[in-house]
Amino acid sequence: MNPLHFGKSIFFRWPWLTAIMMGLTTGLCAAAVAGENPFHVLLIMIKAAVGSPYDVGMTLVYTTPLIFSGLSVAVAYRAGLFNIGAEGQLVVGGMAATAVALRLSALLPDFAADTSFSGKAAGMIVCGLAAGLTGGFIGLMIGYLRARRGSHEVVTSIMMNFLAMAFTSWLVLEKFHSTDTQNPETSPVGNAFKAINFRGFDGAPVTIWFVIGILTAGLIAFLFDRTMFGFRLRACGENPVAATFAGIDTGRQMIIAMALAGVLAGFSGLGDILGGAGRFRIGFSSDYGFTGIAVALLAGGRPLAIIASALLFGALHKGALDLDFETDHVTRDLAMVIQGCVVLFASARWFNRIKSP
Amino acid sequence: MPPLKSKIRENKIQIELRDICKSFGGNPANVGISFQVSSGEILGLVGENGAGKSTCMNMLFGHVEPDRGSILVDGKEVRFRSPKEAIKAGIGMVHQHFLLAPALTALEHLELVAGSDVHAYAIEAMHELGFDLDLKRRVEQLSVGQQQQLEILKVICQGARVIILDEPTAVLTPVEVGPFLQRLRRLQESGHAVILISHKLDEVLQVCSRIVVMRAGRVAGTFAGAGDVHGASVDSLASAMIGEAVSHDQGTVLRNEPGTSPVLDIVNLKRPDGAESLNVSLVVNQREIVGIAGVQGNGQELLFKAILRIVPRSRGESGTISVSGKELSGMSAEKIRSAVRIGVLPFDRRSEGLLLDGDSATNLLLSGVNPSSFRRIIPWNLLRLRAREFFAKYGILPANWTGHARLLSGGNQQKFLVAREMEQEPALILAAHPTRGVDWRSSRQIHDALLLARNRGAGVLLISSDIDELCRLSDRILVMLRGKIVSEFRRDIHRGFDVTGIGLAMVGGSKNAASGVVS
Repeated sequence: MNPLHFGKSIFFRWPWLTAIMMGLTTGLCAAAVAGENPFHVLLIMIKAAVGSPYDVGMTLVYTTPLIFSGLSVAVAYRAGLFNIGAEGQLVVGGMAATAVALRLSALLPDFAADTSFSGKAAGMIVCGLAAGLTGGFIGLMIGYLRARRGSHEVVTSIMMNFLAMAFTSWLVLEKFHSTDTQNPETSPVGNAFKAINFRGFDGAPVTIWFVIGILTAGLIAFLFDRTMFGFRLRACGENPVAATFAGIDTGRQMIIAMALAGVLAGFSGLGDILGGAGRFRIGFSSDYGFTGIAVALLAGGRPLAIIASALLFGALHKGALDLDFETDHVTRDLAMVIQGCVVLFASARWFNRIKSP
Repeated sequence: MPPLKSKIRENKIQIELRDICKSFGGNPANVGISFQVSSGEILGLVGENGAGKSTCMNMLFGHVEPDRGSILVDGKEVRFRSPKEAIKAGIGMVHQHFLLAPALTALEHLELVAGSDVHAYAIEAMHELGFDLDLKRRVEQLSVGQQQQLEILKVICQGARVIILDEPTAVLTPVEVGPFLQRLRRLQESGHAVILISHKLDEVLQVCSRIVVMRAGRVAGTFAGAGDVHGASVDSLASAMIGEAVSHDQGTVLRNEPGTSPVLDIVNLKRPDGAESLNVSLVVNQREIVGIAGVQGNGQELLFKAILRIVPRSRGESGTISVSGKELSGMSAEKIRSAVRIGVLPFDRRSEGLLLDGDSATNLLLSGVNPSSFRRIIPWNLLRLRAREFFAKYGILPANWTGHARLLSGGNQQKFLVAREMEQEPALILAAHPTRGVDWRSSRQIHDALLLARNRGAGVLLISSDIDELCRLSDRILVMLRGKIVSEFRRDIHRGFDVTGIGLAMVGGSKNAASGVVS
């Protein structure tokens, strides 16, 4: 077979693979230019990402929030909206869950101390509700402003991000600040609210939220592919005018989509907050919300592909951490370079899809 | 720059189109177009939508190149590869939609196209032509009429001696039209040649020295304008535009007796929306096709959208719309669609009717999306089967299509839409331009499908700019002009419709006006 033809057919059949390979190559070339042996760099990253049970665990820890934020961006995207506010929604969601858990811990110490499975499950549901509802409320506001008042969702959601950061910082420092530390973090929540952790990862706090993330992805996929609810959202995203002519209230679909996106983003922070220390720390999210955009884009907005895409970016994040002390010329920021390149090549694929027969 | 008078008067121009042909994708848009125009003349160019006027002017202005034939300027053959070259040769065009930047002043616009020393020249031109325009004002402060003057002035300052005006009076209010026509005469007297494209035949008759009528891509006739004893009348122009040879054959589907119970009942629907106002009462009965004739942009689209509630209720809107006896006034678009079954063939099938990146099953689903089916699991396999059935039944090609709707041809997309909407057995069908851009055979199939739906008991409101189509399908024809229904025509069992009368009513003329036309 003609190698050129072969390359072309791969390019069109699995464009995401092309995007990953080209992004990785470009990033490693950058490392080579900086004076590192690119194969050495690649090896370090692979080892750091999946080298030991602990490393695998940490990769999953980083993957968990990305699944949710990726789904959040994807839901909005499929309905024709761009949710750049996942970061703010996840911070507020996390804060709400922490605040509710802290208040309940103070009010019902017996309940908070219950570490049986049923106690933990109740705690998880309470925290999930708090996070989902607040995240969803912010999404609802953004959707409402877009649908009924005409403010563009990108602008309002960026603004919401700033509000969310400022507001949660104030809450952490003024209302829930831990008495036993100088760090900008809250007191720890009661044990019942700490997420169920999986053993077998040498202490890496892989929580139940990872599994919930995968289940949620399946649920969203089902919603989009098999229900009228999802179809209506999709129709608005693909052709809002035709949707209007078919009798769909596109404004309402926008509000629903943004609210759902907010709920999903609200869940993003829970694994980190409730899984490890059990506290809300200012700046705990290393841009999970924004990386969610990259995750969703690489997956083309398909919920199940988001699981794989989130795993890739989670591994990339974990893998790059070791670069700080294993190499002389590159740091963990190389992950950002590769991520950026992958997104760039993944975006180019939309262009190709339209042009290719 | 030389003074205007001498410049124009000494530079007489004559333009001739000789046997111009142009086709797009096999469809002829212009066939053997020939006419000429020279300084001191206003040439009217009239014809229905799609008659080929725009294509013709686009060739003269260098937007597209002709397939065959030649354009002669002062007897010399020229080829324009871009509008720039046409402008250089002295041809200017004022488009229906202005190309102006709201924040710039009139003078800045002129400087942009004609250099910074244009001021004195512009003042002189304005004086000569009787323009009333403050050059220091920003465009956003100018009235629509003044913006139009600015557009004409731009073209003149670029040195145009032939000025093409595309539907110039469509944007003007009635009181602005008189002065505008005066200014056209001044342009003519100052030695410019003007080509006036218009749907408003009385205006054309008032100012034009000659009138070229186009129909189906050909020149259907050339008439002398006002001031000539043997001049044209609105009547003669209208029948030349529409063509006497309207076919009255009934096709393969025979129509049964129209019903008497109303399916659609609109009572005093009023929208006082300024330029787009609406003031309509009409009834569509069971087993009846009611055609709406009218020049595009006279409220047909708004009426259509008001019935479906796709346009929001405007301030001061009044009147009631009922479908199958259900009053729709208070309902949202979603409610309306779940309360009554309406089949919709929208104006633009690609942007308004289809999800172009979806397959046929997806597109089939689109018309069944009402809140009552909210919780249902989508039966994709069933939908695929039904899509295949529809493809076979309505002769949609390729028959075993599973790809995106985008890649179907226009005619097949339309047939798919017809299949989708008719198979739901709607009580009311709203059809807009159902066969626009569709070939003859598919048009026939679509017409048959509409007639079958009618015979089955549906009421059809049909909007079309194709008179033949209206006459073929309709049981009654209403003519819409400026948001109002101005006259009603009934099908005569033996002779069909009064085509000339319809054509006249569309452009605001009447039988009486036709005999005495134009002073």
